[in-house]
Amino acid sequence: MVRLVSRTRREGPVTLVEAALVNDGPLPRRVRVESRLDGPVWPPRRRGVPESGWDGRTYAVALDAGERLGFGFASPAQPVDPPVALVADDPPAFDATPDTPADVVRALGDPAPPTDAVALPEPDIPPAAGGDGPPAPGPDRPGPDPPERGTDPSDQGTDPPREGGDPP
Amino acid sequence: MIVAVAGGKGGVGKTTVALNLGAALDAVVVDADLGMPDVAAGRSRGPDLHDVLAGRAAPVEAVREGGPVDLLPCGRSLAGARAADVTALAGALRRVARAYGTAVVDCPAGMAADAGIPLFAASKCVLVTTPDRVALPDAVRTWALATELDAGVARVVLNRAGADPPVDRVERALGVPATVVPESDAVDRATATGRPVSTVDPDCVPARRFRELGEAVGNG
Repeated sequence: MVRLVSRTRREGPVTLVEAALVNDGPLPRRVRVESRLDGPVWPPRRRGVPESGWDGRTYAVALDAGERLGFGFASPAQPVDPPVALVADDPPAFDATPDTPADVVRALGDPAPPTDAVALPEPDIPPAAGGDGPPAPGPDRPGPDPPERGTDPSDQGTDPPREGGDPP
Repeated sequence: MIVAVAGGKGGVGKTTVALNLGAALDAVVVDADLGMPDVAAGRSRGPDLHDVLAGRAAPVEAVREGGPVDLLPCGRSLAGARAADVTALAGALRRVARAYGTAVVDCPAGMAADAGIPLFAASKCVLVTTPDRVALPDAVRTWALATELDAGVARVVLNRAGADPPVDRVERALGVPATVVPESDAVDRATATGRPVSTVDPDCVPARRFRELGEAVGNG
């Protein structure tokens, strides 16, 4: 769960809202916060454009596990307590629901050991003296046994994307 | 049906649960831990999951029948892990499930794609955790990943549970029923030789719990 703490300060005709989001949980979270002030929200701007995450009266942001994040805005409305409320607190998500295994790999990272971690195969047979031929084949394990029954060439596990889901 | 047995943290007993759930469901157990395979394959020889994922063998060719549980073992070499195309795992699991009815996947620890792909391919998953402060947060992370990948979490197994496991707390946190499997020598002995505990002591509490787990997952 994400905690939201906030306070307001009046500067002349403007209410300044200062708030902090604290993710105490073990998971990253996506949260959305909404102004409770009875008036327009003036978000922080860069070159005249609202900062990333602001959309009208709401501010959306992703928080890593354990992350604290401060934010604020201004408004001509009178202060209320609390000035902001947490309206969404969701688990992290893929940018889009993955459609293919490749999407999953892109999102989560390829687990294959790096090439540097894999020793070059040792030749089984010492090369003949003066010979410049290719090294003898010698990976660290033999190839698969020949299949005992007929192999349907289409029955490889390598066709990637979707098959419309798992049969029941 | 493809059932992923996942848990986030290593050493919590995913392999034990996969083996016993596979026996209860009469399924093929697929050892999908490409880097650190765990399911004992016995002395049988033949192509393994590394070969399948490198395009050198068809998935059903790599299933070893005739043991206590049908098994698709994983190779044990770094070179094999390097050559394996993890994106092919989803298709391979579907083919095994189509040929044999049910595939139970022993997922690797962690949150990388080799743990994500079985969850992507699976229609159901079983989370495994030990009831301690280190493993439980990992189970919660895996629950979140499984939820995002649409692998419905059917059960959480509280493995190697002591006298007073935090069943209520875990069920509340994850929103799924828990199956408690107590610590047991019979389970350890059976798993070490790649056998389900029902073949060693069919009436012990863990054997009964795994049968119940199989019924819950199979019927749910």
